[in-house]
Amino acid sequence: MGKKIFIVILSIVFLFVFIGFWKGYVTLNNVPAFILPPPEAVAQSFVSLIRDGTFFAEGWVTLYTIIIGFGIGSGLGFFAGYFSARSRVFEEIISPYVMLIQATPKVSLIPLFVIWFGLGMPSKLLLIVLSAFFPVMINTILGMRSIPEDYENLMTILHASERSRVLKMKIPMATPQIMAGLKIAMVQSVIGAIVSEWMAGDQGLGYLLVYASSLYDANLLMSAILATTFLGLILYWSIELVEKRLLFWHESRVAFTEGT
Amino acid sequence: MSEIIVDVKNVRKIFTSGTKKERKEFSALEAVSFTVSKGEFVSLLGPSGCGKSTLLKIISGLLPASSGVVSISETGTKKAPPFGFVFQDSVLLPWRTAFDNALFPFEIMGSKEKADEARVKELFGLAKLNGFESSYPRQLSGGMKQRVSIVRALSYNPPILLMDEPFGALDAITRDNLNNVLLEIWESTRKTVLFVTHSISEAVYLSDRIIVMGTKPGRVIKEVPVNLPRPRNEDVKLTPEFYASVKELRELLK
Ligand SMILES: Nc1ncnc2c1ncn2[C@@H]1O[C@H](COP(=O)(O)OP(=O)(O)OP(=O)(O)O)[C@@H](O)[C@H]1O
Ligand SMILES: [Mg+2]
Repeated sequence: MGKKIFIVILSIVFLFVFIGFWKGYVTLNNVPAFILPPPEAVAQSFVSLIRDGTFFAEGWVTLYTIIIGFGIGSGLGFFAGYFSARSRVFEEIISPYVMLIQATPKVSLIPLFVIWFGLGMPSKLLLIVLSAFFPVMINTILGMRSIPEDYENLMTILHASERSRVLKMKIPMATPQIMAGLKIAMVQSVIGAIVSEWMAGDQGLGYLLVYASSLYDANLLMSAILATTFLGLILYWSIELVEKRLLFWHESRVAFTEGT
Repeated sequence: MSEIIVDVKNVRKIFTSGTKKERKEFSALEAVSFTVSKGEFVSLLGPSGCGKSTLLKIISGLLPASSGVVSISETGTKKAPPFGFVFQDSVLLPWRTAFDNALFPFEIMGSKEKADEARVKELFGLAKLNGFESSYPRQLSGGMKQRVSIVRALSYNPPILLMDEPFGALDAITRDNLNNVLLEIWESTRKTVLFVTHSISEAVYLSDRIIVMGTKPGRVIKEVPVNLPRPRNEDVKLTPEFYASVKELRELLK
């Protein structure tokens, strides 16, 4: 317990030291505000952007794009992974395409999407779906394949139906790996959303970033970066929360709950 | 005591591997025949690789035989399978408590009666697991997990219990303890047991009859009856009869 408090205090102290350095650097070197504004100016701009609702409006657009794209992408990734793990034939048929798409930096596809679908939602969604798909698919295959054979034998001995074999044994057994895939997918989705809004968006936090940059408004830019960070953190934490609930039994969790 | 429950006739198992052009055939079991009677405790004893696990899998229907027949005269009830299977690892579901793991078969069969739960409670007592019903597998020792696994295998009251080196991964002291627990459970349930081991003294201590297997190819060398009185306890291990059986088996396995 004492250790925990110590860590919290230390990280707060670190934050203040960081802000202090920032402030000191800006005042001592007379850095112009359009390059690096002082911390209080960024804070002020951040608060006012919350007050006038800009962050909520733009953040909401980014958030629901991520949620929809992540949902579709990881859902498809799960099924693709599930069927690949079940059937070698299916895996062999799709694996060259999977490799091809995976080797392509997804960002490079955005200009193409813009030609096909124009600026806005469809292009953004497509990129996020692609970003979330692969980590979930690959980890689902890994999870399903690493189930020890005797678990399968147990289900066979018990005359388990295919349905209960999958729902009561396979999916729960593969959950640690699937969750790991979902976490990577979430990080990738946030990056995908910001980058696609940046290149193909007319709304959202990513769009706000380009907009601020084009105006040389460093206050707005840094506030928008902060807002993106918060959004990313909130999404990552929510998925960790889900993981904590689902995997209370898993070693990776046990170490955390019993270690302190 | 002579009603035959498991009848293995001329079972062969050939594993094929390699490519289509270069087919490799490996004979894991060669003309294996034996029977197990109702209520009998029979051990399969043999060196590593002689096909004990393969044989158990064929008997339980997990693997098809290449030729030969296995007939099981007990079919179990409508939904409940005729076998309980205990593996070398406990194969427990880590997100379920010990008790819920023991009840897992009922969830798969889709039917559970009051009496079933009561029987599982009783088995928990027999396996000396009282007080650990709501523990998760990670909170249990290896020996305890294996006891839960035995309780699970017996939960739906199958007529036949198949065990594949269930204590092979445990230390000697825990192993002796579990042998005694198993004997007690067997005395009070009188299941037909087919028990795989490569420990000679374990086989002698537990069994009515030992089927000695040899390797390359896997086959039955001899059947050795064990005529030690029942119920048995640790004292039996100090008798000359026990030594005689151990000695005979050691000679056979040389
Ligand atoms: N699926 C398989 N494909 C090819 N060969 C196999 C397969 N399963 C088992 N074998 C071979 O059959 C032989 C018997 O294997 P088995 O696992 O039945 O031995 P065992 O008596 O149980 O050994 P142990 O005491 O080490 O568990 C071994 O030589 C093994 O390599
Ligand atoms: Mg074996």
